[in-house]
Amino acid sequence: MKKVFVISILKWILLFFILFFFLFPIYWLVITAFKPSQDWFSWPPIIIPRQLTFENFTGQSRGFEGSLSSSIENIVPYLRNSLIIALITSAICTIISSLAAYSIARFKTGGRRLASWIVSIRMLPPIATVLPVYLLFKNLRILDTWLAVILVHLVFTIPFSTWVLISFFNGIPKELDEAAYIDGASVWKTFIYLIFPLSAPGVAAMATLSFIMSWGEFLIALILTSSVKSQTLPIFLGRYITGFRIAWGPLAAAGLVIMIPVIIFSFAMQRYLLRGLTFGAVKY
Amino acid sequence: MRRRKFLILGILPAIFLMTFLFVLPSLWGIYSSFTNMALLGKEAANFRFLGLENYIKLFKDSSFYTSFVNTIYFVVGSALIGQFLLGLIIALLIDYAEKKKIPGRGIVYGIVLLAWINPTLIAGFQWSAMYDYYYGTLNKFLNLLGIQKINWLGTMPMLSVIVANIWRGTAFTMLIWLSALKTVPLELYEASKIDGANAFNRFRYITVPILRDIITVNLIQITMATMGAFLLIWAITSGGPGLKTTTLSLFAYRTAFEAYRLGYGSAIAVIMLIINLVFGIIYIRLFRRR
Repeated sequence: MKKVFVISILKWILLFFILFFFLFPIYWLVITAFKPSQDWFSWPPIIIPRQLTFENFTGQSRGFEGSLSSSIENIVPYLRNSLIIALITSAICTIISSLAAYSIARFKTGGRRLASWIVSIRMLPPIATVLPVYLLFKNLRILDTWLAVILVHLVFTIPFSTWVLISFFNGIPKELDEAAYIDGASVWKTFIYLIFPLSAPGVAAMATLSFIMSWGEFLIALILTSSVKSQTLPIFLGRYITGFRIAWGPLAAAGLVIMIPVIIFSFAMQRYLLRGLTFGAVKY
Repeated sequence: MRRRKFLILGILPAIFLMTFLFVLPSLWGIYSSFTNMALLGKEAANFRFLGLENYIKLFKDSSFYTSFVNTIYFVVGSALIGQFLLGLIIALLIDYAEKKKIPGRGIVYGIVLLAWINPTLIAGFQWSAMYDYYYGTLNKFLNLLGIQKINWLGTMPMLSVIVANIWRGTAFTMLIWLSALKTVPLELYEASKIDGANAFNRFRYITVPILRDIITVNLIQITMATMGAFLLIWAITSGGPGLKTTTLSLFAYRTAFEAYRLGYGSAIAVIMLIINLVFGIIYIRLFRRR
């Protein structure tokens, strides 16, 4: 009995420690977003805020020395760019990778090798491919556009989604397709009305993961974009960080703005996300 | 037959995209690793094919060795020991709580996920602020406990960066494990309980064999992500002090985009590809169907 008690105490301590470890930086980010500028840097650090303000979001009367901007009032166009890029990436990625995965799963297109090739293809770090892609886009005159960023983000999301969806489609009995064909349905109809809905969880899960990936991506967006026309939120953050000091208030406020759409997206998809990953990624 | 043809065509968009935006650029990148390609300086003007010269130079470069060793520490410490084990533990805890209907599991899930979607740039600067010797929150906590201040980034920079990366990246593994655990049929556990297997043995002989495919892909994915991690380290330490936290991905970035030596930078990236492949082969061997 005593042993059971000790183990359960240990479990609670472990849980508490994990929670604290993960929660504290987030808590800090949230309170900093509402702190007035004199509280951003202080010793001892202010853990329980004394005074809350919306200045970091809406702009403040006095400027803040050493940074380009003292609030996130200019975030809207970047938010627009990010939303468009992440949503389109997510949508196109699911379409292209489910088509590819279905083709590989049903017709063994390219054989087993193609499937493992798809996974291993991403092992070359992006740094080696970023420059040729930059030059290519420069010649195509699509630098600093949504299209450029979307295209490269697709390259990063498609392999993983395809791989997961292949095993997902393998889980749907072939007889179902056959039955639809015998009933006279075309390939498209079978795919859209039968296969797609049946695999909705997997597709939703991949949509979520590619949305999150595209939303947070930094290096590609940094190199391919150069103006407010197409720069995404992670690039927008750079303006609060100068060699001199970091404008913590607006940086944290922008962080909140960046996190909220992802939270909404993943909670909307949560039910599917768990079930989808399950189905797709596991084969017996 | 028309159906068949039609669906084989379905793979074309993916092939097309990957070929033009990944395979060809990669080949170009690999080719450039055999040249003296540069963006600036006298080398930029006279482009030459060097053969293996970059690689020979690389193996004689002491910073390459340092960053190679750092990369292995970073990947093993933060991806394998950290994200993978911690993600597994959290997933098991949540799964346990779900089976016993203990409330609060959604909160754990949400909190770990928040750390993942927090922009990496912010996460990096946050951790660097927390580690700060004079003004850091971490030292403030030590102070409250009556412990001497610790110069985190000075005395244990690699460990500090590893902890920050564990914080940032654990959610992915947790998410995958959490959903994977649900696919193991409960009857299998019940049967082995009757046979007298303890929790560890149930995990080792039932859960792991069933989930080996997903374990492999999860390991490959987090290893690749950690190998390529650049922004987080750059924000916390910029690879310093000295070269103590410079991993190959920082080293490659420095070489290619700060020193503008593209050929040499690409050679580093090719080495990273080889390391990734080695890790991948190890995982596949380890969890192969027997």
